[in-house]
Amino acid sequence: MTLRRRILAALARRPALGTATLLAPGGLWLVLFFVVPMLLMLGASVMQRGTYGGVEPGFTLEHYRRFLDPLYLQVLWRTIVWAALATVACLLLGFPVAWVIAASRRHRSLLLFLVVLPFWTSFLVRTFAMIFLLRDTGVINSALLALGVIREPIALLYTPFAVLSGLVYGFLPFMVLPIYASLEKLDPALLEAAEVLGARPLERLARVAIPLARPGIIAGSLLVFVPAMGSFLTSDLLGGAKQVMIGNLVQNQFTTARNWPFGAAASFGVMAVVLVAVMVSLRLRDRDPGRVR
Amino acid sequence: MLPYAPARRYLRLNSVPLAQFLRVSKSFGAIRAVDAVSFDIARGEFLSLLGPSGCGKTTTLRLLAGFEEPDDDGGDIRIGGISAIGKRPYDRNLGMVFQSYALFPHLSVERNVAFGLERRRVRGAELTRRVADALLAVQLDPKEFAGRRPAELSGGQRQRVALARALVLEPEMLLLDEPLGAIDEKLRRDMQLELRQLNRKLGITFVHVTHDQDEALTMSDRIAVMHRGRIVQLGTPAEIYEHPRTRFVATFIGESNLFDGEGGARVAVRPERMALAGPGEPLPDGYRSLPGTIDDVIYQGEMLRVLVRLEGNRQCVVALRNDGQLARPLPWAPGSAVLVGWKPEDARPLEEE
Amino acid sequence: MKPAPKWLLAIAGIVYLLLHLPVLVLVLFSFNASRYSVSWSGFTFDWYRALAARGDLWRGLRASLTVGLVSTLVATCSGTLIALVLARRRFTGRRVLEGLVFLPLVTPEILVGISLLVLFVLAGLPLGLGTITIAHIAFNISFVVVVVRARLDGIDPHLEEAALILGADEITAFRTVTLPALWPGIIAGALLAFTMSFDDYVITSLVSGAGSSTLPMVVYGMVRRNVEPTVNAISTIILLGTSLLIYGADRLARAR
Repeated sequence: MTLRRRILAALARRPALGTATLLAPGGLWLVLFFVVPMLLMLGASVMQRGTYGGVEPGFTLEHYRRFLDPLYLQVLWRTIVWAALATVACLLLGFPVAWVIAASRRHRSLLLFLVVLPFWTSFLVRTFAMIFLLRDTGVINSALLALGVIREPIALLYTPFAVLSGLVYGFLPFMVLPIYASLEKLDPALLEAAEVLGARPLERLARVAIPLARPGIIAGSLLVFVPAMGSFLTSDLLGGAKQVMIGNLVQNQFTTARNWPFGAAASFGVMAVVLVAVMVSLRLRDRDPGRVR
Repeated sequence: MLPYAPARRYLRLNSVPLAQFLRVSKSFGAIRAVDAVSFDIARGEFLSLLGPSGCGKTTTLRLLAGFEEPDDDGGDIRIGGISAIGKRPYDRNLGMVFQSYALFPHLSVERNVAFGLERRRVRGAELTRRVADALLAVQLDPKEFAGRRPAELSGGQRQRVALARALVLEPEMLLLDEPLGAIDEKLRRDMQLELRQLNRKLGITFVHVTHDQDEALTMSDRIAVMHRGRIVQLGTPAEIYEHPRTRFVATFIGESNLFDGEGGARVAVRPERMALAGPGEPLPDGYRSLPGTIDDVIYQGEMLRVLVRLEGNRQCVVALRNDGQLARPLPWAPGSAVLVGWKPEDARPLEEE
Repeated sequence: MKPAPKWLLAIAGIVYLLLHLPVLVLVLFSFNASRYSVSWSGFTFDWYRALAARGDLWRGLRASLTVGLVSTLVATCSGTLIALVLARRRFTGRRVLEGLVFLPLVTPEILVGISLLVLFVLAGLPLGLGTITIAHIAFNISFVVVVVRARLDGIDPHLEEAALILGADEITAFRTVTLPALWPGIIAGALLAFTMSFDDYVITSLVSGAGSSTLPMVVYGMVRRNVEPTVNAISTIILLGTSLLIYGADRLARAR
């Protein structure tokens, strides 16, 4: 047998070896540059703050205690509220889009592509597009002024409204795709059966389509809520100094404030909220949908 | 026509089995898909592995092919007298037709069939000739089909290409994993006979997996009936059908009426071996009999199925040849009291499972 | 599914509009001759010409291309291997691997960025294009795995077995049967990875040192300072470029 065949036979005898070889490059990279950094962060969050930034040895929980200060909890709360509002808005706006795509035959790929495209193009550029629209000298204000509807520009930028709009605009595609995936698997015969049984259109929607699309709705909500919680660019560019989200707080600790351990503790505070959200959503997803109320 | 065919059949001395399974097991985690299975495969035969889904027949085939290795507990698979444990599929000189045909979608029919030959470094004129011969052997005109892509073919045509691709390499054994599953009824019957004829003509051993008992009975020289990872009976179609050994075999292959026989054992009687006697009529001498009432008579063209309700609210089925219901209708209507009976030797005793 | 009721179509239509209008407006005004006001005063390419004069944009472009190409190459190779294992092999710890691959996609970018910063600083690595590339590879692997895996799931697993029984060993089977069917998926994954790398701001800004600047970082500076319509111009170019790449990836991912 040639060398090659010998190696292949040896690998076939011990499949785990072959698997491990294939997984090694990517797996090691992910462990080294994703898992390890996370663990380091965890460690850093309980260490002393270094004089010039960085960390110094010494176990302490002061950073977590500090994070529980109302000042910072307020920021966390605001972030949760905005992320939740953005999720709801995305759901209300995204469900019709997902439905229309799932219902279309001829134009489906085009409609999908038009949703996917913003999903993948530069977040920075799209956020700038919002600025361009919302600022005092921006398109909306100029149009309203020109039409005589208002006499002075309305402050649209640097408001909670701007941040929320930015979040919805940024994450809407994340909601549409999972819901579409769920609706696509929906058997049309189920809706027809409901119709035959006398259900009106809205009833069919509420009692058949939505419950069956639940996995998609939950997945989509998670895919919006989690990044929104960690959002940084949106509030940075659209919110200005007043609308601070946790993401900005954390970033600040690693740049200007040079308080790494506190920044790490704050991030884990966010992760805790995210984890709770994930567990709640998994519970909701695995709950038996067939119960009669 | 492939030229090697008839010579093979007679050159071999049929006593040496081509392949053997010796107490072979295969487990996936805690599940034992194949449980200490032992059997021989004779040269040139058409052997079917028959059973319901999950019985281990496909796993057994895959063990033979080399896609799975048996558990390391002393079991052995021998091909041509030599242990095949650890031998990769490409070293086993077997052919295989998959349920989904597995034709390479990016290659033409010709390139598909040529694939194995190219791996053996066959080139040029010889390659083209052998590919053409193989296509002709499966009734596909090379001129018409060679350049086509699998996507352009019908299910039946794809199956033939898959066959040609395997046969062109002149393997000793051809493995077939439910090859007729995706084909419609009419074509399936034709293909069953074609495969049987190919086996006879070419002298290649066929090992065939199916869950369809009609198919197994039609095509096979021998059938291995499998259930829960074991072979419950191995024999010719006649042996399996007329002398089923267990309740499972008696009910999985065809239909059986189950009764209590002598000494408390269960026996099975085929519906067509049951006799029916109307009110006032006697059954022939020596027949076992039971009284009952007719529940229903189902017309099936060739046969009439008479459902009879017996004591204890049990039902049995009697199959009668249709003597022409319009000209000579059955005298017994539902509700009539009748006697069902059978010859003692037609009652097959069943083993404990 | 039955055709959607009118009011649903209307909402969907409005949403599509809202999704694309801001960007279309942005692009439109990159051609506006007026520098400050939003009223239209004529079509011009001036702002595009102004881009060409900005050295920092060219340097940023070169940096982004370099980082993008290297990270795409590494991520595509290692990601494809992972996808192959996930799609074709049985093994214990599969759940863990899937979680490991999935995690970078759902972790907030800010967290990924700062954790890598901590790693690099503690390891004493100088921050620059090198660290940026390392970070990009880390998140790109997941994208590639998702795309290639999806493609693999659509390929009949028996194809490889058919090749094996016809005499091809594992490597030959992969080369002659799996790879030709998989190529579109691999390229789609690569295009996606490149786009993600090219557009990234948050993670890049955290792990780059003072000197290096990729294109998004330069653009961020321009956006912050509300620079005249040249920002619109560079944004349009970026959008056009990445849209083409995404279109290509989309077509390939769905190719037969």
